[in-house]
Amino acid sequence: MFSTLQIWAFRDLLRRPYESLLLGITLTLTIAIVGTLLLFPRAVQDTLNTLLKASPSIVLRRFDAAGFCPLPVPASVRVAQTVVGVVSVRPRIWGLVNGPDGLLTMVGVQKEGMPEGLASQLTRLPERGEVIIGFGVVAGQSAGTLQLEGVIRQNYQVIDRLPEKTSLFTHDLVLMNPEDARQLISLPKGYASDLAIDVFHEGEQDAILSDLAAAFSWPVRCVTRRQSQGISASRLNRARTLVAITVIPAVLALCLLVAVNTRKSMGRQSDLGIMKATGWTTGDIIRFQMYRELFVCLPSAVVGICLSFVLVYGPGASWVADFFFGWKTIPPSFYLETTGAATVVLEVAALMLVPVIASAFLPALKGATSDVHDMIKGAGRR
Amino acid sequence: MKPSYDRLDKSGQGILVIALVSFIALAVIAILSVQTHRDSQQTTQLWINYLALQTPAIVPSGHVLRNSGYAGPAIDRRHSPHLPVMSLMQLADFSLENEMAGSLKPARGEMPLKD
Repeated sequence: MFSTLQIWAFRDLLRRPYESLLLGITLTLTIAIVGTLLLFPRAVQDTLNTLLKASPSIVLRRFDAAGFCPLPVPASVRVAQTVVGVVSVRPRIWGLVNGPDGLLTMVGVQKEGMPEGLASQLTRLPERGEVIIGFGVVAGQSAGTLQLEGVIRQNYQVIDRLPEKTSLFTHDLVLMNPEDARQLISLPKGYASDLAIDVFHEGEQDAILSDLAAAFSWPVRCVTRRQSQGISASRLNRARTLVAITVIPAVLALCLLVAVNTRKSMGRQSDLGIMKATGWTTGDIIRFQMYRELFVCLPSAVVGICLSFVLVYGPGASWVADFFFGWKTIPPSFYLETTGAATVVLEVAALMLVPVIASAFLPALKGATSDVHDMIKGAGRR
Repeated sequence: MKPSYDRLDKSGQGILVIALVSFIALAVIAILSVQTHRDSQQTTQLWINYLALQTPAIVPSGHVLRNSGYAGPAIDRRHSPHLPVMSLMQLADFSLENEMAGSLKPARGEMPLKD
């Protein structure tokens, strides 16, 4: 099943079992830590991009000298629909309100346009005085009522919760009747917070901005999906910088590991000398050394990367919620983009394994040009 | 007598053990990679599409950052404390003119676009 050379290489490891085990554990943990630090921002970015694909192409808001202001629904929709390239226009009633544990996103929902798949997930849409809440709104409690504070402070009856598996998006959402929503944020009847606009083609997002702005008789601000993705990406880049700083100690630990491994390998010159003396060729010795290192490094790399995957993508990774989001509930798993994750895995493997394996080749390469007698004799000087 | 580790038959078993451990770890990675949470992903996207909201809550401090792409700067607070607020990053380079994305910038001599 295994070649003689492989068995000899493993036998050589067993000569110092604890040393080999310690090297394996150190490598595993280092790879797990670095892998987790590199995979986490990648997972967040991939998940964000996946979710944002479903968001509207453009959001248009009206503003005046005082700031953003509500826009009249019928007139705004009519104007937006005249712009070439616009496929659909949806007025939105939403805002940020104070909940029992902090700010919440409140959305006024109507039955029109609700997909069948979503309607079946809820008992019914909220009537006046009722709300449907996300899982993070009142964590861990089966609250009967929810107090929200906007322009007014009012209690609402909780009739349902949004599906927990959608918490990446609905964690802090409160769905309510549009009339209640208007009342809560002081929005006049017939007005909306802004317009969600969809365009036919992704490339049209930026192209029709000027047409949209020109079509309205008041100043508007348009934000495209691409801009929103850019904002998210820039925030994540800042997080990545912090990650890069935390990777530095791991890289220093790796340097130390490589130095120790090189020194240890060089100290084995006499062993290699004896091998050469008994008929081993340089090629045999190089293969022997390679197997010897791979038996430690490969399982360490695979197990370390596996640990990273479980920590980042594993179901119920509660540490993510605790450390990064401040959630009291367990978030759903991140979405994995295979290409992105593969890049990180290759980065980690290259960063960790190449130096360690290379350090083991040094004595073999040195031995290739050395005299056998000198190699064996050299052991006494060490 | 102390048992010796210098036995080739044990080496074969050792390689087998580490191969098995590596295989199990690879299987876990494969399972996590293949299982792409399609159901929850599709349902979540349906909700996003229906509600037409943007930046999801997965960003740290998601409460404030949600929809920040749509939001305006401090003028939001002056006008209505209940409309979304702008992040600090956007506040830093805020100017009313810059906020008028796609709209006229008379200070720069721009004219209305005509078809």
